[in-house]
Amino acid sequence: MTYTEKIFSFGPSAALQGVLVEPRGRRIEDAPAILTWNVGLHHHIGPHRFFVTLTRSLAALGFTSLRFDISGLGDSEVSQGDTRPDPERAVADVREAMEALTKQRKFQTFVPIGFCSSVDAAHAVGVSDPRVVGVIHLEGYGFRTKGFYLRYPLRFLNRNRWERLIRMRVLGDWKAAAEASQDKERVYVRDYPTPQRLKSDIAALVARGAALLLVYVGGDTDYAYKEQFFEMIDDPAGSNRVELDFYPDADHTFFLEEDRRRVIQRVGSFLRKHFGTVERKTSSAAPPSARLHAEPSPRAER
Amino acid sequence: MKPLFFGEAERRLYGVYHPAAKPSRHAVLLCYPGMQEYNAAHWMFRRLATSLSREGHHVLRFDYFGTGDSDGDSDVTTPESAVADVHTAIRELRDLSRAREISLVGLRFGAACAALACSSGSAARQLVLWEPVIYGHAYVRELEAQDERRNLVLLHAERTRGRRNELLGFPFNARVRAGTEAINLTTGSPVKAKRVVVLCSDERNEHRALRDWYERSGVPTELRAVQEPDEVAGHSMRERPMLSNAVLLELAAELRGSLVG
Repeated sequence: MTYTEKIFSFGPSAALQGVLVEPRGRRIEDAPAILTWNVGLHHHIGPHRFFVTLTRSLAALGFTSLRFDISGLGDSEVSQGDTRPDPERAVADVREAMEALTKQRKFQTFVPIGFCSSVDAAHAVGVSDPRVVGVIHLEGYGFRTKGFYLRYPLRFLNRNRWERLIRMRVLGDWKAAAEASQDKERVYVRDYPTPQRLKSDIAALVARGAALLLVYVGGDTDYAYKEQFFEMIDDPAGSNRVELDFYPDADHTFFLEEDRRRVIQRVGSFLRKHFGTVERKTSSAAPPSARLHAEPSPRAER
Repeated sequence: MKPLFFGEAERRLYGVYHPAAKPSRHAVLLCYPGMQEYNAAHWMFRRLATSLSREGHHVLRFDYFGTGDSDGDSDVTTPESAVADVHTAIRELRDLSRAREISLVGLRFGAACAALACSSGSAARQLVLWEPVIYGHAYVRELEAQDERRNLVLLHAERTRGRRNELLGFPFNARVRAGTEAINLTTGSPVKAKRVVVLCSDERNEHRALRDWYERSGVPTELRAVQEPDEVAGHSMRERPMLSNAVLLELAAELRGSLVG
């Protein structure tokens, strides 16, 4: 195995629970710790065990990750007397995770990975905390743009969309119709920042030297083409600190294994590119002189 | 609530132990459903474990190898491996709790694994089977029908044709399929349990066949239909546990008897 996993309890009364995933072989010197937590009501393993596969893959590349539950979800409890609203508590819990990793493992920098609803806390912490040196949004904020509406008719060329329509309406698969409509609600009910606010937040992150990876999918989302993000925030030039991927055939929770594999590889290559230049052996006995330049990983796009 | 890893070094299992709120010699092992139904059941299992521990049971809920936070990739979990994990978890729960007797509660695939563990070496005071997977073939067909609908909804219609190697977002290879389809609780060795309770929403022939088989083997077995409100009963088996309250109360009441004596 390329990883070791330990129970990681932290926060007030150790009420927050997670699993710390550390590389068993080479680890990257001074790398940020990677943080993942609940997507909606899913507990910390994520939809289709996404965060388990991701954090173990990142350990193979030399990164340490913490996948954890925010207060009241999964295996974490709400501290007695805590009456803060959920979004505020989620941000506080991410900060608690950072404090605990600094205290217990000496990490100074962090990369939160937000996925759908957890993007809200990832973004809030990223913008406000200088210890965050990178932010990854998987299916983050999407606003319809002129380009989105111009491309909208292209949806009608999608054979799968027609097949769904026919099987739902003509063959009367109303359960599928209901699920599709529920999915739409699950995807769309979010408290987004305004495009102007998002633009200034991204600018602030880039000015601070943070790196961003944004991954969007097609399907029934508000996202239709790769460059839509830059149109959304009215910044067509973009920045080399902001990397963007668009998978038109993937769905919102990466239901297919090949889509999950693709995203996991992409996250790994992003982290290697920005934070993975120096490695050391896991043994704490290794002296500073043991530093060496990393061999390119076959899994990373360097 | 105490999360922990246990089991062999290269095959560690993740579990959460809920110690009893008062001195007790009885413990309950909760067996999650299969990975396709796991996420929706997780919250309900936490609620159930918390409620049982408050009532005075020591409780352990755990992830099978290849599921949740346990070691292993998602394509390795067979009924055989999961049953071996149930045996391991029973030993762990006995060590943690020092309980004299252990009852097992399983949902769907977890109920099948709990039953198979009790017919292959482990013994339970009570074996509570909630909507058990009795025939593996029927279970796989049911998951395939849900998978077809999800693929259709998510615009992966091409995945609804031909034999699948994924099922509801997880790998489902030939080995896992063969093992799962081979489940048949109405044959094999009798279960070692003082009592079996089968909880279901609708009493069907397969439930009656299971009860009759256990009764013929000399194990007192009760089949009980638990009515959920329409807003819960209208959901698929994958989603129902997340919303269920009636079964939760039924389970707590059922296990209360094990605290006596």
